[in-house]
Amino acid sequence: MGYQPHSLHIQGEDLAPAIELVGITKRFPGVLANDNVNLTVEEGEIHAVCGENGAGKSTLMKILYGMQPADQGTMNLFGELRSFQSPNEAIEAGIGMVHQHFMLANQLTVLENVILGAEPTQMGGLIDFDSASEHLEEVGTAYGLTVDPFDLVESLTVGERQRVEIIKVLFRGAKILIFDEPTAVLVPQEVEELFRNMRELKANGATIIFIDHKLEEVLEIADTITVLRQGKTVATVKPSDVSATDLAELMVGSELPKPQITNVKFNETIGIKMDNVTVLDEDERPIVDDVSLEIRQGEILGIAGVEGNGQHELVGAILGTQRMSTGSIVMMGEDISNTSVRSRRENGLGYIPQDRQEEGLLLTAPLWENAALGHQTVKPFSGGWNHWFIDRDGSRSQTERIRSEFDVRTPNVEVSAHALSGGNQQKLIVGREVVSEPSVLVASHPTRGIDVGAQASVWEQIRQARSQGLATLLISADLDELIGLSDRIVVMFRGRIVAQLDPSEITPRSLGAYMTGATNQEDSE
Amino acid sequence: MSEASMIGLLTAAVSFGALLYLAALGELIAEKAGILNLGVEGMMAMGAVTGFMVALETENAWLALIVAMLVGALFALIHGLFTVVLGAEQVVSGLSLTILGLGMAAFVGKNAVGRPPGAVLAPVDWGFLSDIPWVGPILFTQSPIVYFAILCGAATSFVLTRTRTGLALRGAGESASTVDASGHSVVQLRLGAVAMGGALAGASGAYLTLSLTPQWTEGVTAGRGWIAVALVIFGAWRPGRCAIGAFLFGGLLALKTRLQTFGVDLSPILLSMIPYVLTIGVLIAISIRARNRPSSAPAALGQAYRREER
Repeated sequence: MGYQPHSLHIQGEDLAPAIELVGITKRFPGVLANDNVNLTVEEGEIHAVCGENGAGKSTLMKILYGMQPADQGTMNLFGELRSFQSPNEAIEAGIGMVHQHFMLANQLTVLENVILGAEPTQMGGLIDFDSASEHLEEVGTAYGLTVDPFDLVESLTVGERQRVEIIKVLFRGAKILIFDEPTAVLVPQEVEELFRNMRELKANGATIIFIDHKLEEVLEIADTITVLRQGKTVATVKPSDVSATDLAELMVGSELPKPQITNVKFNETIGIKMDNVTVLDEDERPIVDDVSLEIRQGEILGIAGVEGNGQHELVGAILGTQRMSTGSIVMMGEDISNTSVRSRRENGLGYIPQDRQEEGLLLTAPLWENAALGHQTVKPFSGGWNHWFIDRDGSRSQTERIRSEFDVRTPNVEVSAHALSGGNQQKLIVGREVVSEPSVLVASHPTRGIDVGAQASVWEQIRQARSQGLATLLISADLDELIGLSDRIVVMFRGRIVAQLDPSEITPRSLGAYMTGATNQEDSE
Repeated sequence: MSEASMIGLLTAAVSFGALLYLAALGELIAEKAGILNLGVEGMMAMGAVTGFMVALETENAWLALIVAMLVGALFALIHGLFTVVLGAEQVVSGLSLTILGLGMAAFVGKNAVGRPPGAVLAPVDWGFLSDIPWVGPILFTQSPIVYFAILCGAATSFVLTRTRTGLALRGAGESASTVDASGHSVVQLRLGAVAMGGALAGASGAYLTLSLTPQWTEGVTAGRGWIAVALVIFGAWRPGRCAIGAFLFGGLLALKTRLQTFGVDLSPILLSMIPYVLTIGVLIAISIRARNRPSSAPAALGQAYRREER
């Protein structure tokens, strides 16, 4: 088409915005993903689009990038009315997308991935690998992005793969870059590196749209912020004018509950008691080392620790999936050390797994089947001889109950689990564990990767369950969450409990010192 | 074993090897684009019967070969329609294609059974080259399709690694969404690869009835399409390695008809089982060996791609 991205600049002083989306509407079966959304992005700015999971950010970007057609609405690019039937057309118009889930073929080299779709060719369709790698080096050095073009993508770290994604987009001459939740997959140092790269890009004249729901990041990097909520644009603000709390409230649409220290009197009955529990790894080394803990009913015990210090295995020992070499576990007065997972679950052990998609859900199964998981052997999910028959009506009505009580946003309980956003999946899992009224709940990273609204609701549910006498073991990497929810915190380091702390007296910083082994309670006492 | 019978065995190994190689290459192309097509046997049967019939009618073996390839491609596009366009389960669709192909070929070729061929693809005359001892008869007395097969192998390898179509095709087999986002059409790539695979399977079938056998009977393909599928795995999805496997297994197919003449006293039924048993054996061996290594199979092999999925 020969479209020139900058052709309209000559027309006058009044620069047309780089992108202007007006009245974009997009329906999916049962969901209104975008409802009359407006978005204006000025040239040369970093424009953040934020909102909860499922607020319609990704859909909006897919429309902009030509991956999906909008049902209604118009799009102006530098003042010119445009619509893209395919990503190809968007790329031609100078738009590039850095995808959240990397669009990379692992068994191709960096160079092959970069040129895919924009192959420089010699006569007869032969790829000109020499000029391609030259161009790649140029782009790389211009923006300070370095990777070896002949490495297999398979062998790269996550941060490096993201760099390949960015190079890919720049290689095509993109002037407008869309970053779809780029920090979700990165560790903090990599996030800093990414932000450096983004600022560099901006300094070189690029326009950046940045999709995210992490408020601190948005406030740090963005020049302008547009907030989406339930498919609608609710506000466009400058980061200097708002606080993280303001933003969060815009995203959620109501005032946020926070984890706060509440003194509930717990009763003296012990919910679960572990004595000298030791779990060995494959090399016969203790990975959980002589751990003794007890949690009373109505108490939340938080376990802090850098991941990989035995927390996961401790959870396995309680659940019954991990063999203990020594020690015993007593739940509600009964020794369960040698009982099966099923009997432990049936006797009132609730479990929120750390990875909801891996351990918590069958993604292709309907919600009502998912709600039965872990409770499939008890009413109301099953009945008849030996609880052999699935009670479909019972399961459905129980799922409806979870849906309404735990605010699981879904058109109905027949949709499959993968149709829900992460936050709603998690609310479903929390709901199914809590409504079964367990006496002991093991919650492993219960709010990992979900947005602030869902997080607040999960916290609230856990707190309510506690007030009804639930003994909860909470494992989390979110230290604010640990401190805010727990009645007592222990720190696990190299498989051992190295400290026992009162959450009202500690800060994330001091907790961090225990977690890395820098401070040791046993030594200091 | 006499020298003459040894030469005869190796010559037949090359002939049978080319038969397997054509079909395996076709399957390799489809799988490289992410589509598993278990319909090879059916496509071969369709190629075999149409090739033979066209030769009967027109007495033009080349025309027969071309028609067989077209029919193979069209037939493969049934699989393409279901798996690429409609996103159906590839294993089910492929198996159906085999059953359909075998049945349809038997039906179409009812009246051709036992008839002498209308035309055959005569061996290429290489002049003095054919007179070189050993090498001459083994390599230079073959049907033109043998050389075509080798050419196809080289071309496939070249196209896959050196051209944009090849790159995009490999990408479609590794990560279809990536290719889609890059602006290539996944549907076109995959349909094209499936059709190409069908054309080569068709050529392989026509080679049977126009040159190797050369006549039509029901079941003339005799499970060789399945060996071709296995060869792709054996060859780790590389055209070169597939060639090695194809000529190795070609040797086995050739051996089975000759063992008796070499004085091996075994039931012919047991003998004819040998290549198939070995196929299974080789696949087991490969899978045991590959257990601790990342597979070289295309990452998206067997996965349907739907764009609107959120």
